Amino acid sequence: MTIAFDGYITGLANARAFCDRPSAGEVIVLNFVSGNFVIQRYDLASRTQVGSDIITIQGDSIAMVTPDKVAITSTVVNTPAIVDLVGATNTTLGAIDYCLATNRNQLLAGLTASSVAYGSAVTAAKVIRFNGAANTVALRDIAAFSASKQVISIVANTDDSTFICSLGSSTDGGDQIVEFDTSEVVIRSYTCPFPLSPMNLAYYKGFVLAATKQGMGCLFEHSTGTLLQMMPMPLNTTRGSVLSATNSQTILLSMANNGGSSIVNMGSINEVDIVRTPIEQRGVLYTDSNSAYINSGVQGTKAWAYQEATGKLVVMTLSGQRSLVNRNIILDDPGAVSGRVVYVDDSLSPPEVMFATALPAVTKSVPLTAGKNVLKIAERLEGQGDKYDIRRVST
Amino acid sequence: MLGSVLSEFAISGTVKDVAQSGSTMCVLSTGRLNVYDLSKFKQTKFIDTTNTFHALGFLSSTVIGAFSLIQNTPVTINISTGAITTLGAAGYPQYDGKGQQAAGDSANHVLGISDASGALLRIDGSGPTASTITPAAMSGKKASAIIAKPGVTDAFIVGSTDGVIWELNFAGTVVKTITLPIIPNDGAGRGHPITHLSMTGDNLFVQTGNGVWFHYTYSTSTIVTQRLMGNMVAVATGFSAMGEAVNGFFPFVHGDIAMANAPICLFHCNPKPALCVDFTTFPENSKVTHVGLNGSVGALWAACDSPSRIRFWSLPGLNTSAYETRVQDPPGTDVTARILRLPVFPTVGTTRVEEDTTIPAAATTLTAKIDDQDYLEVTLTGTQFVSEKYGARVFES
Repeated sequence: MTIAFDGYITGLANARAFCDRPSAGEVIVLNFVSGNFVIQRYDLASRTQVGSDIITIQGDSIAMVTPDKVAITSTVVNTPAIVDLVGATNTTLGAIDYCLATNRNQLLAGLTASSVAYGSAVTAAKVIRFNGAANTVALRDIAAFSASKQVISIVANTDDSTFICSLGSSTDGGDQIVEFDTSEVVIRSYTCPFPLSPMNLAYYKGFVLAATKQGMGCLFEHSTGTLLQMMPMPLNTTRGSVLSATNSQTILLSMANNGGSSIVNMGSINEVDIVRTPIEQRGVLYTDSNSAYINSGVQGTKAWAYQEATGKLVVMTLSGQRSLVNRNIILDDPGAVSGRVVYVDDSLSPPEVMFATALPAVTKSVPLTAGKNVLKIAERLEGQGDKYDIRRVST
Repeated sequence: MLGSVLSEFAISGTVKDVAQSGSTMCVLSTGRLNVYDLSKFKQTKFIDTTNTFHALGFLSSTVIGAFSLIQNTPVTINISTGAITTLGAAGYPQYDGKGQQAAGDSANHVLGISDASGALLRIDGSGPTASTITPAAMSGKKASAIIAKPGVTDAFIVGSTDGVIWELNFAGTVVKTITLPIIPNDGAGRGHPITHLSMTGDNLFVQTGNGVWFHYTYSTSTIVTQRLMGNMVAVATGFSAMGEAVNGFFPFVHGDIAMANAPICLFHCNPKPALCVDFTTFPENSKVTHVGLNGSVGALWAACDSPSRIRFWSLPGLNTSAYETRVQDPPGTDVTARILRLPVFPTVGTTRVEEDTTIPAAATTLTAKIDDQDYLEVTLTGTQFVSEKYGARVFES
């Protein structure tokens, strides 16, 4: 896998927020231009602006709520807005609540297929909900949220049409990872090991990678909340490392070196392949300014990262990602039993563990590299008597 | 993987440098050399010095050599008698409290980095004498980290402020050079400032001030992996990101930001690439300044400030052990087989294939690289897709 520098999008020194618009290959920017806060569209392939500026509210966080509409929340005004990119119109909504913080990513996330976006709110135990179809906004309770907790970061899980967030306080970071659906029903909840506070999240095909305030990345098997791996990452006590997940057929994250207030970073961006043991970082792009990245995104083979001090958006091309397929597996002895399974690609030297997981006594879907003949090693749980089933399978 | 806290020593003053020889540990702190016997986890001596010393290495099992930022005359200190011998002028080290500014091979050689460009500081324990050398390869460059090459004498690994690594001997003869890459780079080329080094077997680990960490197969100078593992820090404040490695294990810590609960990570690199297998913290809002492993007592240690102390965690898995295996088909008839061994980590990390070996038709002993560890052993015989047969067992090393 390689990461190649395409070029910069410049003129973004006053930009406040960013989000991907993958349906058009665009990155959407909330910028401050000539005394106005405006939404701008930039084409990632040509790195040029598309259409004209659309004046909107003084916002701090944006997300696509439909393929063509951008939801906006603000730390300054409690009246969120929705901007229609096609109609080039802004709709300022009623008074609801404020965005939690400035100059951070992942404070707002959208599921365009459901026309829903959720964002962090200043009011504890609440989330701001956008309905993109009706152009409405509401402040909603999530029953499982503690009365003292706020949403520190939030991302969409497009596989299951849900949202995954970290909960905590705006000053201390999160301590809990919670998934809820578009009816605000909590699906699952788990925590990072003490004392790690998740500040940034990335979800892909059943995995959650959390970047923590303390500089440790934690990779979870999301369905069970099982901690699979940990790895040091650049740390930042107010932002964590910057993560973004791809929407392509690979496990790929971009991570930006994001220093603390007293630290100046040489811009360096990595790709991270999380379905490996250990997590593999491949490709490092160094950029020409000693400045931190505070936002990033990936759309297929294109990636971008925003460098705060220079106002430059670095655009990159990613190549060499591997393809994954999901396989349904079940342990049967006979009848469904719980256990664990390891897939080993023994054609490689040294052999690579493709996936290892605990299995409940029901069918489970696991992601595997496509086009391989691999060893599948299944084991009944200890206590039931060690019992192994080893066979070669094609992926 | 990591066990309980074994012990902790309070340190007078600020920790400046730490060195180990077997179960003997020496800690330089403000105006003092502290000596510990780790086999008993007790302090055996403290020796007050007129000035503070900032970097040390073992000249022998009982004598250390030390450099100071305050006086340009290095000293030797006998840790048994407490005798201090002041040597002739040589120079000053570069950094205060960073660690890895001096290294000793316990064979009368201590080499230190100098605040002067192109220079290294030396203490020859056979005199003892102190001197400065200026290896030609270092001309115009400044050393920033140094370790003794493990398992050998008269060999040192030196990193520079601009991304060059040299292996050289006490005479200053360079025997190997590695230059860290910055590729691709859309801007002007620049070097990685090397903050810390660690080495185990044929694995060299390099932490840089750009936050990028490198793992090299040392003999071939090839990169196994490079990762964004830390923040950008000035070398001067790049407190120990790594320390002594043992049997494929090495410690890594974020050291540049004074924050509560900075993770002290334990990595294992057998098999490659390295995997973070566990972590611990100082939970008392302390800044970790130095970190390392001690193979003699099987421990991870870390020094911190506010207040200064050094703490030890048990690490029983540091050693390797040999386990016999054989495959019979039918029972009573040994056959050749391919053996895969996968350590099953109970806490952090998923399993990996540690061993991939074809054994002959006989009982064969293979090394398990981690002690006190559950292993899944898988056997494969026959021809793939034709007559392949499988077997499995779990054993504890």
